[in-house]
Amino acid sequence: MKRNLYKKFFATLFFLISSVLLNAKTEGTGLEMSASVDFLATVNDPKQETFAIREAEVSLFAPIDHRFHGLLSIAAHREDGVSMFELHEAFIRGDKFFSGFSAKAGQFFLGVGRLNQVHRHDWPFISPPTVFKKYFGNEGILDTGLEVSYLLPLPFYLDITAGVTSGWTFGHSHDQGKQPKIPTHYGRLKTFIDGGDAFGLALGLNYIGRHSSEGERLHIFGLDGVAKGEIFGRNYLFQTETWMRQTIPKSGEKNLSLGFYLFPQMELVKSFKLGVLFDYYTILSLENVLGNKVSNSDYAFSPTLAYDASEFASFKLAYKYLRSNQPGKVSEETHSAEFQIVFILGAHPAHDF
Amino acid sequence: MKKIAMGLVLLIMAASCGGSGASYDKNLNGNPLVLLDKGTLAFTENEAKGSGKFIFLNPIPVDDSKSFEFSMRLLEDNSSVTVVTNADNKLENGLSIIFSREEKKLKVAVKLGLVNHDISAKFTSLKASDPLSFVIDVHAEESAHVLIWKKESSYTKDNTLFNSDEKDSGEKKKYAMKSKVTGIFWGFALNKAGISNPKVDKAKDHHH
Repeated sequence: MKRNLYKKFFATLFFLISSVLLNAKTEGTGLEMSASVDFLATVNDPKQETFAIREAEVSLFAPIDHRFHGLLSIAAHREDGVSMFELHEAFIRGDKFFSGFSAKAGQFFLGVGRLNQVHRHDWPFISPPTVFKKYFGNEGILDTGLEVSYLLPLPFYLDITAGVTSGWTFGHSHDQGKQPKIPTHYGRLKTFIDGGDAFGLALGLNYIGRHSSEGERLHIFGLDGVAKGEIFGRNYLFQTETWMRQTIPKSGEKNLSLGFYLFPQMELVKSFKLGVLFDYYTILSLENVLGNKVSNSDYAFSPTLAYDASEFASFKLAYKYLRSNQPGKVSEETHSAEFQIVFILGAHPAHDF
Repeated sequence: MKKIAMGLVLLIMAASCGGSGASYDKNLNGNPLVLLDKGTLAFTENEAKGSGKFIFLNPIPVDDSKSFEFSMRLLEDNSSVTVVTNADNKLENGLSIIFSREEKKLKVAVKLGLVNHDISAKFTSLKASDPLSFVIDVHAEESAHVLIWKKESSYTKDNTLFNSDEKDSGEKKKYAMKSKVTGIFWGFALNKAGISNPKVDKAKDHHH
């Protein structure tokens, strides 16, 4: 109770300070503030409240000086029917050290994959794919540390990113976690192919590792791709990620799993887009007590209609079919529908391609 | 020559059969199981009674939070039912919840790794001699989160008999489990007790 009051006080103080800053002489400083709200309505999903503000986020961002710029954001998420305020991202970033090099320090979403680097309210679909949810949680991996990137001086685009973060927790946790034996460390190799108006294609190769305080070793490998362009006069998007995770506990069996999602999307008419999210997940190493392999899979199919009223307001409607095939059980099917409204107040920092 | 060829064919056929050829021992509430210690266990379609230890054949993927429900009877003094979840294939290194009857009182303890909490004080409303039914959520988080309800209650945090996330006046967790569950099997160890209708399902407490 005390902790929640403290968080509400902190949030209120943050808003007051933000208002004062904006009303003060900030002209010319480049300080900008934005707020985003993600409202979600679900039908027939027992895990979700029917109507809820899934997330509300307020961000302050500005150049700090001629070398650095910074971002501070606070977000409220619904948990157990209560809005929980927490610090979201708070980092300083510099890209003027030498050509092609940038560094970021603070708390931020790890620079891996595609979805993990984009705020959830900016995703092209409503809910996370199964593999993303299992490996990274509902929103992505957020941690405190240092990340560097370098655009290699090559005739083609090749960017390398590496980071190390505290790793006291990985994914959703209700407490502060424990100091790991080896903190979370990650790397990403990214390239971009410019096909003019026809397409732009960004590809990434990713790795994340960690050695927990209890001796569990974690290795995650991933491939991600995003293609955008125009075909028959209409804009399209194709986004995909494939991830494989290996966990090796201190004692016990290794666990190896794999999942991917595909999301093709096409503009129907101006501002209306139709996409279909297909995702699949399986545990490759699953065996029964007698050591026999058991087949298992979760797959989902979710057509999504999006209406972008502007870059500041969007509406999405999706139907989701999920089928789960687990050992020793009759296959389970669930059907649900989701409706999302996202609106942004102020100027939101742009995400990459 | 023909006999040698026939023998070779039979040998190849035998070698091509996958796995150990071993199968499960019993079925309990539609769940195949393997006996680790047959002891004096007697089985019907939905009940196991006596003393012994068994493990269910099929795995429960460890990255999913699950609920485990069952009914039980502690048949006499000093009897006990231990439900072990998220264990290895020997029913070890998992989360254990031990229900025992000592001098007519119900004693309950929860163990994970080196952590061992006596949570009997949470169950004083229940009689050890009565038939008892429980639903146990085990959430596979960095520090395992365990919730226990009476089966007939509604599955909210306010209605738990036990919640490992419960905090003391200093906002510190009284029953922190301190480690993650890692195993994928579950089963029971019975001592002069009976259990019936065991079932594993999705976690009842849906959050995040």
